[in-house]
Amino acid sequence: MDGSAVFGVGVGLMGQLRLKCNSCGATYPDTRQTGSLTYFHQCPDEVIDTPEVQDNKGNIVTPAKLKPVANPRNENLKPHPDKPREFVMVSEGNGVTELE
Amino acid sequence: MPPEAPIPATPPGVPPSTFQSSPNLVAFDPKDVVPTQSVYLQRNDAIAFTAISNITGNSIKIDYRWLTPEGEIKEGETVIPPFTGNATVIVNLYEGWLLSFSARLTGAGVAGGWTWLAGTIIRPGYIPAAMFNHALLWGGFIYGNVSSGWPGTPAKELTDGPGVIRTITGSTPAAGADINEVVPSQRRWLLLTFQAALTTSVAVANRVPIFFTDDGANILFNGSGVFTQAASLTQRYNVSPVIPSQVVASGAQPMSSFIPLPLRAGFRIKTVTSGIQPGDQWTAPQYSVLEWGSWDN
Repeated sequence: MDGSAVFGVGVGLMGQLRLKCNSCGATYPDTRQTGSLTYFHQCPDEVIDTPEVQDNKGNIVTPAKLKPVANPRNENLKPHPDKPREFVMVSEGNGVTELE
Repeated sequence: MPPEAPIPATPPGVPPSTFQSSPNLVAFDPKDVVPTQSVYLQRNDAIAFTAISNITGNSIKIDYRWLTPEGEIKEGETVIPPFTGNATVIVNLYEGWLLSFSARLTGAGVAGGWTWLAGTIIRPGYIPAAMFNHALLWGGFIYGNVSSGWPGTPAKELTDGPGVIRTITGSTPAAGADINEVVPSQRRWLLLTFQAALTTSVAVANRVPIFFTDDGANILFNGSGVFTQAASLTQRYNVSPVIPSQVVASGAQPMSSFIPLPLRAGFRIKTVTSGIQPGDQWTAPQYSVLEWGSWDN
């Protein structure tokens, strides 16, 4: 999101509506409003499944285990397979939840 | 002899203006005359206006003029309705010489935004794959406060120019997850700055953030700093080509990276934090890039 905070007496810092990705849990600004600059969220390939275990000297005892993100979301656009000159999201994933 | 009608008295004051009209004094005889430009629109030809933009929901107004075989100059207007990403509209002029077109964003310009438009002579097909592109008339950037078009401003390719400076607030990862930013489709970036903060939980472990760039599959570069973050701390990190030999006493810790760093669509900018724990939390990365559009993906 590109923009600046609006400050004023009696006015709080108003943030833009945010979205939470239901596939990876990341949150990001909602850029669907007209005049926003586009931002396309894409889930990472893998996330931590079990964290790394270290000894009291900081040496790795058990390395972290990774797992792939199930049903990842990719908001980048691709040509619509059935409708010429239209574009669709690469993958919806588990959708998003609107936050404030 | 019938009586004459009374002459109405002229009202006082300045007489009102009268509407004046007259046919054009200049006519054109296009028969057997070499046209002013080399592209003549036949009856089955059309003009496709294709736009690409990084602004959500903007629309473009295009005004054009053409000379008919009868020697009359006609005017027309079309609008590319609000779009995100790419859009195309097709205009049929029937037959004649296209004299000019100019385009402008209908909304105000947006800092960090860009819109590029191309006008192409085509033979329409039912699907884009069946469409014949015969000639590119003009391509260039479109603005909100001034018109651009043909003939007029010099044509520019999508990757021309100094690029647009954008500052981007990325995605805040879930707790225990690392930062993952991806260069969008049809974009080319030059990464200028990148910073984020890590708040570690009470879990005892030494975290070492490492800055990675890859092409979606292959690691291109990874680098870290000299700082090891313990539990219950908040520390800000900046990518930097210069890493000091000692930990920075206050302020942001550097993570090693080449900058400015060229990136194309699908490339990833991410952190891999050694020792990250489930309660650790990265902030959304804040980074600046030079951005261009790109057709090669």
